[in-house]
Amino acid sequence: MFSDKFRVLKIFSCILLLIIMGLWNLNNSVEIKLSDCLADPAAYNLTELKIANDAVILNVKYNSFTILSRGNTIPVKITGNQRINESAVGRYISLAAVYHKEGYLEMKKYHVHYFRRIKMLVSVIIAAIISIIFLLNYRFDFKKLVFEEKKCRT
Amino acid sequence: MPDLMTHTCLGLILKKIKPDFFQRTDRLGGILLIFLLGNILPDVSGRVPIIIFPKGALFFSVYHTLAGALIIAYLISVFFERTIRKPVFFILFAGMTFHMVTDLIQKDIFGDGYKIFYPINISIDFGFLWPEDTLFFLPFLLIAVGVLYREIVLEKVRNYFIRSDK
Repeated sequence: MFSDKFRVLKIFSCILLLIIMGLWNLNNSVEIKLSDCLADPAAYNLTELKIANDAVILNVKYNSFTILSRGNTIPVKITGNQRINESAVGRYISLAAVYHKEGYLEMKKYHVHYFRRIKMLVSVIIAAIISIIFLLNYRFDFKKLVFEEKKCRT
Repeated sequence: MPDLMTHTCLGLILKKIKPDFFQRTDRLGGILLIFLLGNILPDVSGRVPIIIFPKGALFFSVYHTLAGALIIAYLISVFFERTIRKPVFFILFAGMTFHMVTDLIQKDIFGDGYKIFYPINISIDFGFLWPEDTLFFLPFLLIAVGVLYREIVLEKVRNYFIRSDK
């Protein structure tokens, strides 16, 4: 399993397996997406949707706001006494909502991710630091296709 | 997902709590570095691509599961020298698993939990914190890491001042 035998085959098998896993999940997911609803509004009327934290708030009005989710823009009506603050514009949001064939969502539950961009920035910084330390400790031999340890530092 | 700095701090704290785990093999230098690399890999392989290609969310999300981690850890380990390949695989996978276990502390509005055991349809989470809430604990974690690794920190500071004196 960890020998040099069939190394290239092992690499391509892993890549193939990862692609198959991704495609399997993509095609067999029972999750209803916003794009499905927009493609066939009548069929998905009053369907409950889960929009995870990839949606961004484009603008906020008194009882509605607009989101951009996976390339789709759609207005969201706020029900009950829930309110979205204007400072939420440009922020990420997670949303549980009901789709209406007239082309809007009715909000049920939500959470605005106010600090998601800071979290992403912090994550990028530490990922860069670890990558740099790794490259200082290992060098890639393009002939042998292996990372070789330069010096033990940790 | 908590931010990667929180994951890294927790990994560094784990090293102090369970030092024997990081000394299990003498064939691999830099075990901590490989562990920390594994610790950030689930987000690098399963979350960053979703930010770049939102439409591929369902495709990439499987890489943030134990099954995905197992294959990715093996794929990366194949790119290391034969003598250290096995420890690299196990340490990488341990780092990735530790990342996913710490992810279980977060909650979402749907209450669905986290499908860590994909393709088995079991969801779990402890639902303590929103994903960004870990940022508020980060200063305390950084202080804890600074205290636990004070010898290294002090040595770096000392070296810096000695160099600037010259």
